[in-house]
Formats: sequence, structure tokens, C-alpha cells
Amino acid sequence: MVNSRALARWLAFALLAGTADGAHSQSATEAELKAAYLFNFALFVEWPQGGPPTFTICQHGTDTLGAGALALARRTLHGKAITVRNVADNQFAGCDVLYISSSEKSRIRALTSSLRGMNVLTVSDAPGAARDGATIGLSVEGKKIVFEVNIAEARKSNLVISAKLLDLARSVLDPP
Amino acid sequence: VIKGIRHFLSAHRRVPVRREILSLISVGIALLIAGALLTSFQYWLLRDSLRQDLSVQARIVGDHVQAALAFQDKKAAEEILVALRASESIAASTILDTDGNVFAHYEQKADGATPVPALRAARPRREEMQVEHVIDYRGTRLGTIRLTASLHQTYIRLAVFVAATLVTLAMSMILAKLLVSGTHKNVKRAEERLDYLAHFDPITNLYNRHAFNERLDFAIERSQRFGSRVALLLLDLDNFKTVNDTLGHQAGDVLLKTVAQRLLLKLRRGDTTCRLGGDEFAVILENIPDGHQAEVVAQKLVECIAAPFKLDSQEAFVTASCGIGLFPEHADSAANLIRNTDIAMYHAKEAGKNIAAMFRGEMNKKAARRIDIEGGLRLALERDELELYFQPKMDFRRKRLMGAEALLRWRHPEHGFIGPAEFIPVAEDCGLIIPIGAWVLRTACMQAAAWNREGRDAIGMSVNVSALQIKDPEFISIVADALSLSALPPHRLELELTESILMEDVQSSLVMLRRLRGLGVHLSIDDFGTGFSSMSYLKRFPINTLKIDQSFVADLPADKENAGISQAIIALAHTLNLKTVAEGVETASQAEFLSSSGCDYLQGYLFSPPLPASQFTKWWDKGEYIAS
Repeated sequence: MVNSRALARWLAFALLAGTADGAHSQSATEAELKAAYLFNFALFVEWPQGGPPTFTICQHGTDTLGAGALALARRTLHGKAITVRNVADNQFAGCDVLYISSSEKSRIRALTSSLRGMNVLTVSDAPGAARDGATIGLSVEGKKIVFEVNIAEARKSNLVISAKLLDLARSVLDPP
Repeated sequence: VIKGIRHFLSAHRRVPVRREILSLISVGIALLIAGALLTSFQYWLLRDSLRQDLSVQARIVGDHVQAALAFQDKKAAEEILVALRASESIAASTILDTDGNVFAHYEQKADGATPVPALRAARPRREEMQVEHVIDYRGTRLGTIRLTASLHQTYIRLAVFVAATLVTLAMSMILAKLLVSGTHKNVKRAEERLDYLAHFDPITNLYNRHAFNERLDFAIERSQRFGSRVALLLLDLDNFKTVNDTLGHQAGDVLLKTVAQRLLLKLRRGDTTCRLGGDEFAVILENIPDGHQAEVVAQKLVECIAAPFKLDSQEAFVTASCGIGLFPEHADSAANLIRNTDIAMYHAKEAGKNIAAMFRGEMNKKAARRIDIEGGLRLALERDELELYFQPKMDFRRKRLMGAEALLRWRHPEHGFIGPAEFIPVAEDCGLIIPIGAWVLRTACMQAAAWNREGRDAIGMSVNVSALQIKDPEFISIVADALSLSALPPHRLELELTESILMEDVQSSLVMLRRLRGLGVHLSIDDFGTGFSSMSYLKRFPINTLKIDQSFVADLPADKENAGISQAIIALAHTLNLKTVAEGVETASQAEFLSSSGCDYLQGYLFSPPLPASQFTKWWDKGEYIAS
């Protein structure tokens, strides 16, 4: 009898708690945690006005989000319902957020270059992703998730990143 | 006297101390209620402003902590919470996630130690206030911030406020007390002053009429209860008015003060001395053994006033007439005692002044008759009860009627015929002599003019004038009106004045006489030789006739002294070119003697008694002038 929203919250909490005590499987915990982070990144980023009535989170490469994607799909963001898709190459149209798995590390620069001007927030958990052209790069450091922000990429994608988010970033890159 | 006043005042003072305390207590209660209301309001204000402060801070901190909460960055959240250290009122701050679990907590310890994350009871303690604020970002709920503030500071501020209020209240109370007691003092002083004015005569410091009435009532009450005797003495100064007129009011006041002092010296402590007003004094003697004792005291008082007074280096002589009344012998009430004592006092005045007279029952009858006469006299003119009688004035040698003297008669509906000797003084006392005198003048002139018109020899008409008429400024026009109304030639009217009237105020009499002479009226001096005539004034008064008093005419010619006096008066008159009239002529030998001595006209029963006008006419027309 637990409604969907409460369940999502429970899941998110379970995931977060899991990072601390390691009771759950490493991968499941990490995937859910990453999904939660992805939601929060999207929360503190502003897209240009307009766009379709749904908020689309796309995943490219191996399924990193896993069960986290399910939790995401139950939530709303900026007044829009969230849909999560796994996308292949050149199927990025309609994506608001593109999550690039670490499996695609070598293609990050190419992907982000091709998405310029399309208002897509690129997030990747590949090591050094932000340096490679992703707007936000995630990494696991001990039991915590840390992130880097490439502010220049954000500008190129017409995205405004909240200063609050920048405050929490491990580092903010602004390459010329 | 001063002691008496103090005693009197202290007996009458109503001590308002209790009233003052009560009013102060009520002021205090009112101020306390106001203070309590102000304090509650202040408490509410302080709480409300604290709540608003907390609310604002919760919002600010909530905004800052959004991202940290979203990304579960505890460290960042706690760093933000630490910033609240600056706010001394905040005891603790807690951030809860969307499920109500504590995400970050900071507690401000008294020693300023580092934040200790700990679970706290959600319910605030008694001396704490909690404000919760939902943290959301762009419509997404992230959690709740809960700020807990200690009310310690609020209580301290409230305590300061209460202390300040209490100090203010105390000062207000002191001020109120000063004001109230000041007002009370003024009221008390005013009351004392009013009491004094209500009961004392400011000139002499004696009790006034009001206090006298109260005291006399008390005395009579006591006398009735204990069977004792009260004596009332009423003293009236006989010639105070002369002192006042000649030496001035200030001297008059000094005289009154001196009289008061002399009276007090002669009286015992328990006696009550009052000034009833003007020159009237009253003394109440209580526990008097008998009437004789009262007479002794009254005599002492009269004597002590008769001693000369030194006023402004001048000596003044004043006497007093004193009436004595006893309770219960002379009256059954205070009012009757005053009335009867007053009657006794008037009796003393009439009996020659400077004496004391004890009330006697017949005085009351006399006084009652006098009151009757006065009442009747007021109606006598309206009811036509007054009548003029006429007595002829003869030229004895030529056996001719020369004139008539008009004499007033009053027929009282109850008392019958009342002589002028009785009612004229009453008329003079009550002022009725003015309208009565005018009526007499008018009627006498009309009668004389009527006789003249009927073809007889023209005769003169003599009318007596009283002192009050001479002093009346209207008198000259009353005479002129009577003359013009009757068309009687002025020289036919002769006004008879007594020399005592003229001597009373020589200067103004002289003025009036000259004006009357100016009308053409003749003037005669009645009862010449009986008063203290001054020959020099006699020369200056514009008179025409001297009237020889009947006391000198009696027993003529046998009485050598009277014979000498009448002859002297006639000689004097002729020297001054005045006519003489002798009145009270009853025998032929009197008439022979006077006529041969040179007296011009004679009047008396030898010729005719005073007659009503109709009988006078008959007597005249008969021509038998000498009574058989």
C-alpha cells in the first residue's frame, strides 16, 4: 500500500544509506546513487524555455543506472514527467540529459561535440569525463560520489548551472 | 478667639486619610493592570519578532542548504548551519530530509564548542521556540529546516521591560500621591477657609449669625435636656452709624473690633459671643442660675461699651442698648427667644438707650400692636382710613380766622381711633411717612383751595412735616405737585418743622428750606424752645413763623417763668421779623396775655378743637369764634 512517491523516496534513502553501510550489492547501490545524483544535477540546471512536455533522460552505453532508472521514471522535474531511454548513436534528439557510460569514455569528446547547441546536459561517470568534454563528470571516491563541472561545456549547450551546484563540485573547469 | 476657632475647625474637620489611601490603592491597581497588559503585549511582540527572525533565518539557511541537502552533502550542510552561530537566540538547527530523518544538526552550546550532531526531541522545550521551514527547489521538496531558539533572551528583555514598567509605575504612584495629597491639602485648606467664612465674622473674629443660630439651637437643646437656663443678650450699638459716617468705615471696623474685645474680656470661657451683622451683637449665656445674674452680665457689657473709644487719635463715644431674654422663661423656642429678646432690646432703646432691659410679657403685646399698626398702616391709605382734622388759627385782636392746622387722624377698623403720637413714629420707622405725608399735603392744599374758592376770606393751611420727609430728595416736587394740583397760592401753605429735625443736619436742612422758600411756601418752627435751639442757626434758617409750644402756654399768665419765656420768644421773633403762633390756648386769660404780649396768632380749644372739614366749615360759617 505504499504509493509510488513514498516508494521512490524509500529507494533513494535505501540507496544513500547503502553507500554508508554497504549492506546492499555494490553495483545496485552505486547505480541507484548515480540515478539520484543525475536527478539532482538536472534539478540545479536550467534549460532554455520551451521544449517537449516530458523530461527525457537518455542513457548511452552500458546500463549504468540500472534500477535507478526506474526510480527516476517515477519522478517529475521542472513540472515535467521524467522518461528514461537507452539510446544508440545518433538517436540523441529529444534528450535533455545524456548519461554517457564509462564504456563510452573514448567517445565522450566526439559525442559532446556533436551535441553542441542541442541543449543537452551531458553527464558521465567515465574518469576525467569533465575534462574530456562532458558537462558534469561523476566519480566514486571511497564511499562518496564526487563530481566535476565543465562550465564551458554548459555554456556551449545553453545551460545555466546553479551556483549552489557549483559550490558542491569537487572542481569547476572552464577550459577555453 | 484663635483657640476657639482651632477647636471649632478641628471638630468640623473630617479626616480624609482613609479616603486618600483608598484612592491611592485604586490608582495602584489600575497602574498594575495597565503594566500587566503592557507586559503581555510586550511579550507577544518579542515572541512575534523572534518568530519572524527565525522564519527569515530558516528561509535563508534553507536556501543555502538546498544543494547540500539534495546531494546529501552533510559536511557542506553543517558548514552552513555553523554560520548560525552568529545568532545568539538560536539554540539549535536541524535539517530533516523529506522522510523526517535528521540529515544535519547543529547545536549551539553555551561554551561555543563545535557542532554536535545529535537527534533532538521534535517537541520544543518550555523555554524554547521552534520554527520549521520547508526546503524546496523549483517545486521539488528537499526537506525541512527546523530552528530552535531559546526564549532566554526574550525573558531577559521582558524582565528588563517589567523592571522599567515597575519603576515607572512606582514613580507614577509617587507622583499621583504627591498630586493627590496636594489636592487634598488644597481642598482641606479651602474647606477650612469656607468653614471659617461660614461661621465667623471676619472683622471681629466672633461667630457670625449662622454660627449663632447653630449655637443657640445647641444651647436650647442642652437646656431642655438638663433643665438648665439659657440667657440671650442682644446688644445694639446706639450711635454706630454716626461714627461710621463721620470717621469712616475703617474707623467703624476698628470700633467693632474693640467692642468685640471688650465683650470677650467681660465674659466667661463658655459664653458664646457673636456679631449678627451691622452693629448687632449677641451673647449666649448657658447655665445661668437666674435672671438677675443675666442682668448683671448685661449691665457689665453695656457699661464696658460706654467707655470712650480711641480711634485714630480721636475719641468716640458709643453706647449700647441691650435686651435680655431667658429660656425657658420667655420663649419656647430659639426663634421666639430671639424675637422676644429683640423686643426687649428695642424697648431698651426706646427707654433712653445705654441700658439693658429684661423682656417682659407686656413688651410682647406692645410689639404685637406695633406690628398690627404697621400692617394696618400699609392698608390705611388704600382703604381711605386716614382723615384730616383742622384746628383754627386766630388773629385774636381782630377776631379773625387766619388759618388752620391740618392734623392727621386714623380710624383703625379693629382698634378704633389711633392717635398720631402712636402711629406717626411707626410710619417714620417703616418709611410709610413719605406716601402718607404726600397724601396729607395734597389733601390739606385741596381743602384750603376749596374753602378759598367758596368765597370766604382766604386762609392759610399749616401742615406738619417729619424728619424723613425733609430728607427725602423728592419732597420738593411733592410739595410743588400738591400746590399745582390744588391751585393753592404757595404763600397760603405753611410747613411746620420741629427744630430737632433742622438741627440734625443743619447744612442739608438749610438747602431744603431754601428750596421750599423758593417755591413761595412759608415755613414755621414747631415747638420752639423745647429743643436745643441755636440762635445763630435760627438767624440763618429762612423761616417765617415761630410756634410757641403749649407747655409754655399752660398756666399763663400766673406762671411767671412761662410768661417770661413766651414774652422772650415773641420779642425774639419780632426782632428777627418773624410771626409768632401760640398753641394750646384754652382760656381767655391766656389769650389776653399772649395777645397783649404781641403774639400774632393763637390756636387752641378756646376757639375750637381740631374738627373734620365739614364741621370746620360750619364752625367758620357760624362766626362764633370764641368757645362759650
